[in-house]
Amino acid sequence: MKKIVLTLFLGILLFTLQSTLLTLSPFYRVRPDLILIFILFMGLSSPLVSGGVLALFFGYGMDLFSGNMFGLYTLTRPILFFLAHSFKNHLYLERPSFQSIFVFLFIWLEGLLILLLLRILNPESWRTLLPLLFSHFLPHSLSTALLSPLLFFLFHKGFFLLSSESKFGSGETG
Amino acid sequence: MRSLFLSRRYTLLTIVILLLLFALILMSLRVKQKGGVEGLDAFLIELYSPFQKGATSIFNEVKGLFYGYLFLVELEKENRILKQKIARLERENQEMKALASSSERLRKLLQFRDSFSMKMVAAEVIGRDPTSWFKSLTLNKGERDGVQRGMAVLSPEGVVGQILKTGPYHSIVLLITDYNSAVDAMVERTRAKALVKGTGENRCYLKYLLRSEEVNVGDRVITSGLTGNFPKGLAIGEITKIEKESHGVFQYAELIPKVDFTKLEEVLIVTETFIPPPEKGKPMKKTK
Repeated sequence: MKKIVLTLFLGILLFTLQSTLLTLSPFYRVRPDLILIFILFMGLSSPLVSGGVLALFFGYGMDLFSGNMFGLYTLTRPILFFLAHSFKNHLYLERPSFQSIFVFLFIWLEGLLILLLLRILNPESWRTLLPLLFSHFLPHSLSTALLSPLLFFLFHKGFFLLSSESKFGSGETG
Repeated sequence: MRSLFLSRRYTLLTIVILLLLFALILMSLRVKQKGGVEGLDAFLIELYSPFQKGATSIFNEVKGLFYGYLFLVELEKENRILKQKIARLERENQEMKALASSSERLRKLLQFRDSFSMKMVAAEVIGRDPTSWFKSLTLNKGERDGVQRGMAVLSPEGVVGQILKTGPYHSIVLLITDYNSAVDAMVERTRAKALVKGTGENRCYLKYLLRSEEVNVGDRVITSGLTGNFPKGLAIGEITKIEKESHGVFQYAELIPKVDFTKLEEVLIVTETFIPPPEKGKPMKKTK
């Protein structure tokens, strides 16, 4: 329980950083998605149910503070979490380069999923947002992928310290 | 043992499906109401916003310290006393400059507010959109300050956007550059009516601008006052590009907003809505 609360708190802190400090950068296109890295890390290390609920909560938060009116991240973030969780035993992610590629692929998967949902829900906006795929989304995804090994390392250390004190989500299996 | 394993696996699968279904329900609620699950939204806005507020003030403090003091730490030992004095003066100077700049901004904001007779509430920007697709701001004023969904948000430079979501003490603004945004506008010189839509980048474009209208690069675009939330005559931006095809009813015009959204720190929320007069000559009716 303690670990879930700490994970929730850490997620809120990362969200705060993402919506305040990182937006002050003069290179506004290069803004890594810290929450996405955190959700993918949770997918690799957290139990299915508590991690899924937290991913849904963080996705809902993203929708709430963005101009998005459809609640897209509420759906895409748990999907990413469950996918990462499903593949965790089939992936070798010890090397930083593999971690970067893993995050890069997942962020593009989410980007394409968002565009697909927008095409269904609001075709006109889809046409407006499509050009942003390379002008905005590519730098954004590259910066997120490049930062991910460092954050994976820090999250891993933090979770290791916590797990030495208590068991995460006791009673659940990953 | 095997059946226990299978039943546990199915239970987990059921939970995953239920969670995704729950996400879909939340999504459909948003699509249907275009406002989300309001109680939950308000609760979560109030949960996240204090963190944003705290972080923004800490970053501003750190920024001030960085400019005022940190670059002086490399001074030599024998000049330490002098350097400390310089650092103190520098910091004071920076603080004064920050204060002067803040006063200047607030003075402009006040002057701007006084130039309109409508009721406005000043608010501070405490956060920005966390995603790369959408454009929004978080403000430190909410329903308790009279802020409601759809209200216009302005700065002395021009139109910022409109209130999208509200909590008791905080609110979210949809910027005019967001692809979801639409503001009734007109070209100041020719009075040609159009709709200003966001492109998702830091630009907008004019939709439904008739091909027969003669507009030029550099023309100012202002609010038309045809919708209830934006008063007439507020600056939106300047036309930077025009594309006229040989056929079709409309032409395409791109504009750069007057407001630099990356440097926006304070804004004004218009807490009155304006119903445009049905006939020419009648005074503008105000509603609160």
